[in-house]
Amino acid sequence: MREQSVTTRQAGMMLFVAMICNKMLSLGSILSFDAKNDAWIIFVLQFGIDFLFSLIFLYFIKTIDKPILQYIKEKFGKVVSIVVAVLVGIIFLFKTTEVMVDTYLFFVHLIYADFDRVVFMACFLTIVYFFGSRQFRSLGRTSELLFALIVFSLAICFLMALKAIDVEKILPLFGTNFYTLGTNTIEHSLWFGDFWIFFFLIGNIKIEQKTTKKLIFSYLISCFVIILFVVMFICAFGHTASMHRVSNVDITEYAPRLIAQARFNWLAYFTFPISLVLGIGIYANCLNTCVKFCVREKFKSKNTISIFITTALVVAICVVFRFQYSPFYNFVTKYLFYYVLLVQYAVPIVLLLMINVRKRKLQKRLVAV
Amino acid sequence: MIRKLTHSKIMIFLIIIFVWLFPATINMPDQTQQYSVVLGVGIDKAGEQYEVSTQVLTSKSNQGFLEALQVHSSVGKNIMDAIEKLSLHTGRIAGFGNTSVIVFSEEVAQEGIEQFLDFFVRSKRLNGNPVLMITKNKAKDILSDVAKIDESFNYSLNSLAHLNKEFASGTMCTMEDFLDDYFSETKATFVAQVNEETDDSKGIEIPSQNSSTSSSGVDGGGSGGSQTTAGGDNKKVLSNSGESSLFKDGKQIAVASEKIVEGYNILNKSVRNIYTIDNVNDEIYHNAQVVISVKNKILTKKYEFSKTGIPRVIFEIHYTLKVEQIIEQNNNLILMNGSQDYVTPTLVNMFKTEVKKDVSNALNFAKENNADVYGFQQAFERHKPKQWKKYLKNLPDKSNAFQNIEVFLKIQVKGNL
Repeated sequence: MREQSVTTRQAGMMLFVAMICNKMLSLGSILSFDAKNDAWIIFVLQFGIDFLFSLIFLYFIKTIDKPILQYIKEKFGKVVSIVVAVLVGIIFLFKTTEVMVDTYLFFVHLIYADFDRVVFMACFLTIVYFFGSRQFRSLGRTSELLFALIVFSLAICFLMALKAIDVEKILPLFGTNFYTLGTNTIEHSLWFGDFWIFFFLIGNIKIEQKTTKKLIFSYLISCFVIILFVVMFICAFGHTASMHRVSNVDITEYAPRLIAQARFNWLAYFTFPISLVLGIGIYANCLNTCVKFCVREKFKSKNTISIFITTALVVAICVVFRFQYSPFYNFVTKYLFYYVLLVQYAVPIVLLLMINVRKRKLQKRLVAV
Repeated sequence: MIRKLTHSKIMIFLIIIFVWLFPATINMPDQTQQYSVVLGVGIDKAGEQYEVSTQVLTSKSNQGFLEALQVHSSVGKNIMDAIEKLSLHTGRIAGFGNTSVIVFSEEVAQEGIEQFLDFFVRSKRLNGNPVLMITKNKAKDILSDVAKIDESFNYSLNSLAHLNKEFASGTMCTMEDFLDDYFSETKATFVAQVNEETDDSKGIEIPSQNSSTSSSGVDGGGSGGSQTTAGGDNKKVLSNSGESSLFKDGKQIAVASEKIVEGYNILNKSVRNIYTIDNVNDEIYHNAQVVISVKNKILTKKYEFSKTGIPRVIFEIHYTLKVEQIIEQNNNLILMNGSQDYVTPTLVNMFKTEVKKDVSNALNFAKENNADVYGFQQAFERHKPKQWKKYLKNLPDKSNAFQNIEVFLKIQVKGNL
């Protein structure tokens, strides 16, 4: 299994891509409707909570040397492992679909207003199919290869937004009440919980010197970049932030331009979708790992069957919500967030307890022997 | 090779997608045949309805861009209706991705323009943050005038507005600025005016042209029309003199003169500005008229509350001035040492008085209209939220919050050779 594992560097890059792909398009805008200029605080709160939970999985990365689902199956039985796989799989199914729907809006907003949903789905299901069926190492290598372009697109976004920034627009700090900030943090938990990428890295990452520290560093850097972006977005648009649906497109177009001026923002527009494609790939791969784990006992061609099921599940969710953002968003923030909260934050604690209790029992038995 | 391809699932998938999409893609019509590139939008009232005009760039082979700059318009019961009708008339869907200016007639502006801007941002996804302008004439006529001028002189409302922000008597308001002010405590803003005038010293001449104008017709720099410059009574110019419309709650409530705008800009931004000081009399100047230009301006502001809880804004401006022209009575010009500072204490005092007068006039204009174009309320809410809330709580009428704000101005001046 270690032969197929990713390096710490690749894992850090994958984490970065997975984190930015679903937060730099519409989330800042959506959150600023209720939280106004304090939307960035929601990001800080969520990242703070997520960081604590990521420490649990980082601990597992160091102590468990095989894929976590396999480990759970061996130690706690098939039923428990399948339950965990299904619970986690559902979250990643919705995460994958969310990035897809968001990406669709990005293209509609940017390139072609009448972009056919069926054509888009066909193209992006190919991505789900392709990256979903790959090994994690394949995604890691791709991330490593394209990382510079993703950083370049972000750099262009940041540079172009500089002209539009008015730092005063972030004031007054904590003008929004804590209840609003808290409810928004909870309701939008599907967009966060990025530490679950570590769950799939357990047993799939080469343990090198300072692996934990490097992963923590990547996590913090990713958080910093996202928070900086959201702060810049709020500082550019102020009261109208929630009217700007695709943050990273609109932020580059704030400064009024002359018609004859060069469009440097196109450089960002053409390179940023790379992170969206890779992000969908990473989430689809995590989803497929769960699906594969559930079906692999019964069928011989497990890879093919699982990837078809994964793709079919994504199609099903897209069809149910007619590939439209509003019904999807309403469902997630009205109903699904209870489930997301429960699974995203309760499962790591339960796993930690189960694994530690078992380890202590084993140690006691060894001492007794 | 073929065996390899047929054994790869992803390749089969890609081939299917390719076979499906490739014919559809090459069969698609040219985008410019489906969409028109709208550079400017004009909105007028037509009775109870709205007339929407679009300044469109239609590119054709063997023609320059300028030849294809045209203005189309259509009337509808609301703006969406008018745009849909316009698309139907022109045979192209109006594409607003490149729109850089929106012109409103005063009639529309007095009713309120916030609904149109909301429509453009939210529904039409107008990304480029266009500049707003108001006209006393028809917005359609202004777009047509610009198209005509553009034929002979590379000219656009967009570049005009960009330059406005460099000058003391100019204002530039973008769609984002307007909406940000509208949704803030301030709710007031200045929008530049551009008008047709008959006095040719007030602007740039509009060439007359043989072209027809109709409610759903075409006007502007059409490729076929012969172009002549009209003379005599028909001569018109497009004027951007510095007049600006004052908006409150999305509606135009007054028009500020060039001088008021100049006073407003003193507390607002660094701009090119000249002052003509009359009757300067000291050891250097003898009843002279002195023209000075502002070479540099550093503006700082402080928001605080007095002991009695009255909000105060304290402005401090550091000017660097240069004496440009000296008009002495009886041509009695004095020869000065090359290193001597022409900005004398008397001139400084007179300059300060002039600046304070301009600022005071502009402030009075804003207070008379109860329109906080300076954004004081917003600034207090941001910098001193608790004290500001307390102040509002103690006010019998919150709508007078701006009028009670005290403004102090400190000016420091140094000369530049």
